[in-house]
Amino acid sequence: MSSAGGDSGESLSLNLTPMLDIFSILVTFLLMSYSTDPTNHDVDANLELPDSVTLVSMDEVPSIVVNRKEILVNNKPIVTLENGKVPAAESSQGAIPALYKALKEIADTNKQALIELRGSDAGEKKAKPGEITVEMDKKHKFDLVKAVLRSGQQAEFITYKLLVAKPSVD
Amino acid sequence: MSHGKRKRRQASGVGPEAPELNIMPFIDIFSMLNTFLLVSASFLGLGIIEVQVPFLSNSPELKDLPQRSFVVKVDIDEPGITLVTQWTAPPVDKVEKTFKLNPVEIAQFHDEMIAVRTKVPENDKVDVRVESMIEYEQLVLVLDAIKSLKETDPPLNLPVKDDDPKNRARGSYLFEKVVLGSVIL
Repeated sequence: MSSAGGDSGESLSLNLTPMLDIFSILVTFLLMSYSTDPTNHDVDANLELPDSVTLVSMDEVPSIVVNRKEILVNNKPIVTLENGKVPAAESSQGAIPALYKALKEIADTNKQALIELRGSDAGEKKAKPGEITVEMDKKHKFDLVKAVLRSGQQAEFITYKLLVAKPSVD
Repeated sequence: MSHGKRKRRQASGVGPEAPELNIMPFIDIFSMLNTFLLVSASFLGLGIIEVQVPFLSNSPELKDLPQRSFVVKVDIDEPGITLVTQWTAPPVDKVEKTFKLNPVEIAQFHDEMIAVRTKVPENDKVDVRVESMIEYEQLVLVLDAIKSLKETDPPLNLPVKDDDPKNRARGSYLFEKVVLGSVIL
């Protein structure tokens, strides 16, 4: 063993092998669990996703987020929830008018983009009803889920991709 | 290398000093790789479950609808899951089964859904009705049992509609179309 700080002239020797071992194991683990999914999304801090065994990966960032406190569309707060429910003043015939309005704007923007992409004849044909990704807290009741989906349905969204947490290592 | 070791090696008179591997560049690369991977890693895998809601359309009715088709309905309420299967024309062969909302019976429900799909492979649609007080987490568990094929499930050899890679990726679905009927009722 070398002496520390002595004037014998011997230099200190650090044993780097254990550190290399740890680094190798860590790199191997990270490379194995590394996700190559093209879509990267940070889940809202105010919600917990339900677990699922689905093998289908997320392919687009959620547009509707329903956390424990509020409903957001494209990160813009639309409705503030009261005890996990939509306030009576914000609800009409089982739907949420403010959410419908926000989703209708998205649907119209999508339709306009389709017309610009394919030419004016695309606008004459009835546009195909859209699909949208929804991120929702697992403890919400179906009553709220139904209100969200009904608002979307009125804005011509009929396919919903429900975001879930799947096993991290395949 | 310490002087002590050098002295011992030289004293042994075996030959020239053994070459020493410079591992510092190796450590540098590992550090950078570790930092990059730790920053960009996502430890929570995100998936999707696709569902549909009924939609009123003014497009003309389909002419080639089969005279007799198979209908699968699932009701989710507080006591549990009710599965009803029947044909639209005689003989109707209506079968009704109930399951509780616990992991064991949901697994039994999944096995029953596999049996239903195996019986009529052409039908890939399930109509789901959900009671208002059911939690979203429970709904997802039941949707999983209806839609997702697990690795432990037997191969079903389901008909593939076209060569679209998107559809091939969906080969992991037991029933592809799940319609949440209660949304507009």
